[in-house]
Amino acid sequence: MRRLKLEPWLLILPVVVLLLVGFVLPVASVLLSGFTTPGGGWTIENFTRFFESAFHTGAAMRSLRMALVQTAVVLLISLPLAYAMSRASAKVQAFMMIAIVLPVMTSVVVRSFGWVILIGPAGPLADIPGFLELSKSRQGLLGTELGVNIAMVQVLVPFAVLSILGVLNGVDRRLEEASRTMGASFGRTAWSVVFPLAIPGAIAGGTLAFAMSISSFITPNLIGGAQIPVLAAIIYTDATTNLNWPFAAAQSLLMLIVVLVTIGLTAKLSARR
Amino acid sequence: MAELIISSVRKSFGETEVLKGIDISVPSGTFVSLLGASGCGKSTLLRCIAGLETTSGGSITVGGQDVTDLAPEKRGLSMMFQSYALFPHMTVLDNVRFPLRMQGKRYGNRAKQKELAKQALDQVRMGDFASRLPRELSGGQQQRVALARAIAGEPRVLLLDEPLSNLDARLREEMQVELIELQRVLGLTTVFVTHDQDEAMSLSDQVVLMRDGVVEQAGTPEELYRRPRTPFAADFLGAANLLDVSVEIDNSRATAVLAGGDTVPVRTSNSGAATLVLRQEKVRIGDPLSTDDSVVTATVVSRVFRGGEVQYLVEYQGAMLRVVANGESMLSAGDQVELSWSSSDALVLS
Repeated sequence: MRRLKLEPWLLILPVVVLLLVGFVLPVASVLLSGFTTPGGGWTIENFTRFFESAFHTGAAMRSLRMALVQTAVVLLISLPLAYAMSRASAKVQAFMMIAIVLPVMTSVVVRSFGWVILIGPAGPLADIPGFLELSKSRQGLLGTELGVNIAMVQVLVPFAVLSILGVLNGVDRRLEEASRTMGASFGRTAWSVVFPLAIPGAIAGGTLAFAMSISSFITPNLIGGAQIPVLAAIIYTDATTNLNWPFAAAQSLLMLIVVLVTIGLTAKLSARR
Repeated sequence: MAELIISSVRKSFGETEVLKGIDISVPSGTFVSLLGASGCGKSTLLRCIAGLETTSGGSITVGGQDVTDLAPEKRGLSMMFQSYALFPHMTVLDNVRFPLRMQGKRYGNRAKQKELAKQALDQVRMGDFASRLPRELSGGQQQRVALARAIAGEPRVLLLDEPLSNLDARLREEMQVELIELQRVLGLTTVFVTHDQDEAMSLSDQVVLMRDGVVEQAGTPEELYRRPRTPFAADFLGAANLLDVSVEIDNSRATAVLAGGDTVPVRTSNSGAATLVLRQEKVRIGDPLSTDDSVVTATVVSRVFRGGEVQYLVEYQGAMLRVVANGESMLSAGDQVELSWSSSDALVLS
């Protein structure tokens, strides 16, 4: 009987080793470096500097706000989309799946540049009167939060759709049919029966979208640029341009805490159900 | 409660025609079973009535209102599924309140709806389980809740899709009794889909036997059992022994010639090839009771002891017949026996 108890541990051993060496140790060393000076001593100066800088705290608040807005919009789009997919014929579902997954296979840089063209001053929308004035520098939606949000939503929707689709595919269609025969219209059935059952998928998809959104810097950089500084982009600049690794590490730790708290809250939320 | 009239309803899925012109009329307050083997179209017909499938032709009328092209929620019916289809995220009470909530003002405010839902639960003796979730109930209990939910919204017609087939035999019999009592008390027009002929016969006012998308025969259970119009109907309702015979009529006396050359008197006015139908319980094994009885000799093939009775499979000229004898009968395979029946119990279908 001892063998039986040992086997599960043996099975997860490779993953544990991989995670430990490839993830936990590097991340821990980066995060620890947030408490060091460039000279090598211990300090909390990196954190005090962050909280005393209005630029940094402002960027952090903007990141949080944008991540929340994007997550909300992503869920609003993904729920009906995933529902339509789950109830489409196998053929249509396969086609939609390709349409959803294909953009994910394209580099996020390429997609962001696509948006730059589409919503920029040389794009097809520029002829609409007043469009260019949407940004202070007459660049259309470039350099605006709205522009970043639109492009980010497009990046995030596939992940949320796939999470929700997985749950909805497991919901018995008889439930909807039963609801219809009891006097509920299609809309009320979706609202009272289908969406409540999709909540676990929405929580998973929403958490994923939030974590990806708050830590993304490519799309915000390309579309928002210097006018819309977000925390992840600042960390990137601090690490690669300013070469201030300890400060970048300190900011990363703060962002990680926000994400972990969010995941903790949503996990608690889904456990209650 | 309302009368349900189905007239020349057709349904095709692509090239396949599943319903080939069905006519059924269900008088208000009656219990009708759609009986048939799987794939005969009975469930599709039920789904057409509910509005979950669109028909390819014909019309469906409920209480004088043509509902053929109406959305399911506007038909005022309710349907109970084989899998019960209880909403897993709602309590038992909220499940039963669902049809009331969806029909809105008609059932008053939240408190009033809850009271009515509670009453429906009490009717199926599930009142004590109101605050439970469906997954916390046994199959039989879930089924009662599904029934309560189906009747709570006072449907004009109650549609039941094999609701008892997931229950064990004992619970099933219990539920049959309760279902029929509830249906009578509420005067519900009910359409019940089943593949089980015993269930159809014991519950229904009318049985509609379906086969390959058409109505094979419709009538009261007694009519279908005593006067089946086709060998299929005879065999489907209560196991019957079917023998190929040829009928000769001489001076208005009909005689059937069996495969072995035996002749037996029958009641028919058509001569020629026909099928002789013998219900297993009408065939006696051993000495004939009366000299007028038809008698043939057969060979015992197998014996199955069922407590109160013994079922024998016997061979007569290449045909296998099922006959029952009382529990003390001790014949064994290979024994030659005499089978006898009264000519009035032998049915001839030409």
